[in-house]
Amino acid sequence: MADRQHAAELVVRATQLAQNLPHDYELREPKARLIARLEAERHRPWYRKRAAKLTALAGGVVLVAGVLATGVTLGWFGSTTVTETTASQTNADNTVTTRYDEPNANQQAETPDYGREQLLAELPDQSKLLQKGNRIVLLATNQETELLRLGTNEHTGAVTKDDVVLLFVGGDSSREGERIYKFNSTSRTLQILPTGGNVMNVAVWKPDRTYVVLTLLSRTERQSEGGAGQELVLTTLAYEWETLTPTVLDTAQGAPGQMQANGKWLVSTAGNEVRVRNSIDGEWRLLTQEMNDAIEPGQRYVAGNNLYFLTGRPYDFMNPELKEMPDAPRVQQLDLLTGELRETLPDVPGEQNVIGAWFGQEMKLAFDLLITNFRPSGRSADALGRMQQLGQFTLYGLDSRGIHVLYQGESTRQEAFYAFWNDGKTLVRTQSQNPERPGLTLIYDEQQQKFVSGPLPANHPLAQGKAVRQ
Amino acid sequence: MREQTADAFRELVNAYYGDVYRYVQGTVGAGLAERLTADALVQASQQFVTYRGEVGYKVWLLAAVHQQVHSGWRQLWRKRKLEQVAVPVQDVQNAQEPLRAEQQSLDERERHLLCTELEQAMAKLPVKARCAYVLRHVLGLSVAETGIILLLTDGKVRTLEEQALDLLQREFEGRNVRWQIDNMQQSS
Repeated sequence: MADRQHAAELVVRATQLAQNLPHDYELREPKARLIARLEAERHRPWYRKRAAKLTALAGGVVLVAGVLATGVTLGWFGSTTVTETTASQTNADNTVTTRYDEPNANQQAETPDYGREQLLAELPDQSKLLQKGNRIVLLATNQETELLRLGTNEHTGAVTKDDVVLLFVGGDSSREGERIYKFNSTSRTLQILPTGGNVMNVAVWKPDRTYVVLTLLSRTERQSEGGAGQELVLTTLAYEWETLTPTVLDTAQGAPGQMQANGKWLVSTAGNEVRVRNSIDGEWRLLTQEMNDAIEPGQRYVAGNNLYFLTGRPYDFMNPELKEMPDAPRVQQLDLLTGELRETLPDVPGEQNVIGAWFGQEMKLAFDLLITNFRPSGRSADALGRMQQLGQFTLYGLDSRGIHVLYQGESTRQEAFYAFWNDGKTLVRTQSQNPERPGLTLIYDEQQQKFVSGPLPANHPLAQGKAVRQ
Repeated sequence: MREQTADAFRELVNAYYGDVYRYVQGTVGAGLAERLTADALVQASQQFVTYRGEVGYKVWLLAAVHQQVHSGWRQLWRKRKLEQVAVPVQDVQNAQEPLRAEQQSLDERERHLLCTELEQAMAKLPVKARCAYVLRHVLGLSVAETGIILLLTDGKVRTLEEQALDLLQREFEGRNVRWQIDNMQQSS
């Protein structure tokens, strides 16, 4: 320590000495030489002064011309090669005539969207679709949980599994017979989801490999003493994916934010009752009353076989004083298999050190918890805090590798998917909601105090040499 | 008009040549300092017509020189030059012949040692950190002025400055400069 202090003093002293070196009198001669040179420069003709720039300009022009000439030549050869194959015949006098046809107009037509024709052929109600004049662009992706709007709002598609698409056809309230289809482009099968009414609108909340949870706005006929009428009903349904068996969730509340599906678990909240349903035995289990009392409605998240939830007062980002209060939120973990309840330790790496929370009907991250657990350093917390001030994070997924979120800034251009990796320092910017398809990997640099590009985290499938689903 | 501009620039050179020279020497080393300073200032003289008064003369001049001296291509060119010519002849002629040890006073020897050590330690710093350190601590510019010259934010300048200080202290510590000075004092 003493050595370091001495070194610091010596650096200061040496710097002070350097402030006057070389002395001004030593610089007189170089300065005089420079002024003489400047005088000489003043009298040089302009083209000599700019000789270097002119040479560079000429070089640039030659380079561009060369590139253009090469491109034109290659293009000419390419077009000749194609057209020569179209027609060539040997005449009677042994001369060869080559006919250069114009490209076929059909070949230039727009390539149909993937699966469009197939879907139109297999949809039972295609005449209706065609009458509406809507163009179906079938989503040819393998990304999970993607919610797309097709054209106008009249068609909604959601990709839920590989090559499987949920397609909602409808939206026109004056028409009947709107349906939700499950289309499997691999097996080329189309199934209609039982909805129990005429669906007017649909929101896909939690597409999952086991369940898909939908909120349906449907119209049903109502018979009463005053006569027949129509009633609009908002229903939340969880469909078991393979059998398409619907389970009605929370009809009374009808709030889509009140249920979750994750893996084989369905979690539903009605009032203060939290019920979980295991898809294996199909039974609903009611959590104990004291557990129900402890859980703030809506603030929980399922990951693996664990249910995480917040206890205590809900977070209020606008009121930082809440952090200091004794009943500040704590993260609790309930093992759904064993029923064991324990409080998570923020500094233990793994899936239990992160949690998503629900706030009303919107999914948002309990950001303070995220910061506390994502990175122990205060600096990255500041950086994330700044991001949070600028935009909003929407939780998309949580697993043992980290949190996957959609970041939405002030404008749509600032939308990006991120994965906060559980190694504690990596923020992966992904190309989509699928964290296995990374776009840009960012690592927090302590010295620069910002995220810089870096390698993939060690536990990333690509870093481990595993193939990522395409 | 052109004459007036040239005269004004000559005045600038008169006033700030020392600062520019110290900056170039501090960031590039003494070997090519005079030549690079002269080249950069000649280039700056041609750009001086674009000066609009957004920053002070000194900062503008240093910014122009920094752009000339530290652009990527010029660094590459300079590296090749340095490999070809170890020390330019002119600089050797101009360099003051160091006094022999017995002719120097203790204070002078100590100063010489400190300056040499600082120069060697500075050579090990990253270029940007070196530039920031020279501008801030040798030339005494503010963080904002340094940021303008290096085209960096204030925060980044501070970071570089801290990084440079830290590395310099480590170098001094590693080289046992204190011990060398103590030794010098005991032997005299």
